[in-house]
This record gives sequence, structure tokens and C-alpha cells, in this order.
Amino acid sequence: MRSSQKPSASRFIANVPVPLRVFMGLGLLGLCAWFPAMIALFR
Amino acid sequence: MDWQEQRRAWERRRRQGKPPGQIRPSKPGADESRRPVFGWRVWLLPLFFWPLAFDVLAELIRGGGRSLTGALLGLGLSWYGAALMAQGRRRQGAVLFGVAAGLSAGLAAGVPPPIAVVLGFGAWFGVRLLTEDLPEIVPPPPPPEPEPAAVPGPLSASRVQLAQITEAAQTLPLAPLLLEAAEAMRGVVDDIETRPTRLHEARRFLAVHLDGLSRIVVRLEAGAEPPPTLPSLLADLTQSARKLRGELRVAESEALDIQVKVLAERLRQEEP
Repeated sequence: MRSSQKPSASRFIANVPVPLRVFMGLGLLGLCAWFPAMIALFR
Repeated sequence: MDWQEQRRAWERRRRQGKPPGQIRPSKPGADESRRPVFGWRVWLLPLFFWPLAFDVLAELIRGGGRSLTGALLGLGLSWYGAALMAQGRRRQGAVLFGVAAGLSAGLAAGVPPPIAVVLGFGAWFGVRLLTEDLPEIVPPPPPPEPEPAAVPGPLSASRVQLAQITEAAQTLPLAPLLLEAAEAMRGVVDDIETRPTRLHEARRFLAVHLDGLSRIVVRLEAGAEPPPTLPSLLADLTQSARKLRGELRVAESEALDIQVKVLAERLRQEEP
């Protein structure tokens, strides 16, 4: 699959540098998975 | 892939001297020992949901059904998503992570539904960011189902016998008579094929006459001396086959005659 044929999410991710990719990925998972789980635990 | 299988795969890889993270997908059709395993990078992702494990205990004590359901769904779906990603289906695994995050946020954390959906998308995108460099392995399509073998018709065996007789009779003594008898019998088989309802009438003929002719040809091929009565027998077989064809034709004509009469009678009754 050429890069122009990739889905838009894959095309965007392919252009992000790897360190930023890891930072954003961990940040998003922390915000969207871990944080709501903590809210569920302590509410 | 369950946890035990994952551990076995890691053990295998350690024995081969390769860290789990370097494992690359195998070709389709490779054996089980070469199945892809994406080690800790995949299996650490469900650990983002660790507070839900404690929440399950808390909700069990507290008795919150909705929150308990959300926490269990979040844990289960995230674990299943990791299992899918360990098999190389990382896009599906990322979607499951998003669903797990959305459901746990909406049900367990009591977040308003629109925000829960946004959080689900965020988790999906986060997983995609973290796993983008892992190869996507599309499971090979199931092998096409074998075409059903052609069902032999009731007359296919007779046709094979006739072909064998015709082929063998060329070089045998009394070849013209043998070929004539075979030709007459082929006519009967052709007739029956066009009228399958008459098969029961010709079954005895096929079983006795055709089988008998086939045995005669086999004996002659083996070098037997034809007895003096054989020419007349072959002539009788030919005659019998022609007679049967005639009888079949007469039966068809009678059936047509009856049908014509019935139809004419009905037309007459329907006329005012």
C-alpha cells in the first residue's frame, strides 16, 4: 500500500516523529483510559 | 491467543536467543511455533486500565451494578484487544481499546455519553500511535471450498460400459455384430436419458443385457473362442434393444395420447 492510499489516520501517524508518537500515545491513553478508570475508582 | 500461549511463545523466543519485541510476523501457512507475538509492547497496554481491577472489587462490595458492568467490560475488552494485537490484528485491537475506554468511562466513571465517546476515540488513537510500527497481519482467507464432485447419474456407469465395449470390440472376432449390439444399447441409454421417468422399465435391460454383453467382450478379449451360438445371441441382444426402444416410444406415444384427450376434454368442458 502506497502512502497516498493509506487511511488518513495511518497517513497522519506516519508523518509524526517516533518520540512524539510515543509521547502522544502514552498521553492519550493516560487521559482517555487511565484517568476515567481512576475517576471510576475514587468517585 | 491467551495468556498461557503468550508465555509459551516468549519462552520459545528466549530459547532462540531473541527478545520478544523483535519478533516478526510469519508467512501465511507457517506452523504454530512461528506465530507472531508482539510481547510487552502490546501486553502493557491493558495495564492503563489497572484502576478498574480495584474498582471491580469496590463495586462488588458497594453493589453498583452499572459501574461493575462498565469496569468488567473495560477490563475484558482491553485484554481481548491486546490478545488481538498480539496476533497481529492491531487495527481491530485498537478499536477494541477505544470501545473499552468509552464503555468504562461512560458506565464505570459516570462520564456523560458524548465525552465518553470522545475518550473512546482518544484511546483508540493513542493505541494506534503506540502500535503503528508493528506489522499488520491480515489472517489468510479461508481456503476455497472444494467444488462438489460431479454426481454420477444413474446411466453414467452404463455409458462407461458401452464405451469400453465399443473400444474393445474393434479388434475382436464378430466385431460388426458386437458393435451393432452396442450401438442399439446406446440408443436405449440415450432414450432413457431423455425420459428419466422410464428408467425403472429399462433397469432390468441395463442390468442383464448390457452387463452380459460386457462380460462377453471381456471373455473374447481374454482370448476365448466364440461359440457358434454367439452370433445369434448378439443378434437377439440387438433385436431386444431395438424392441425396448420401440416399447419406450409406444409408451410415450400412449402417454401423449392420454394427455391430448384429457386436455381436449377439459377444453370442451370449459367452453360455454
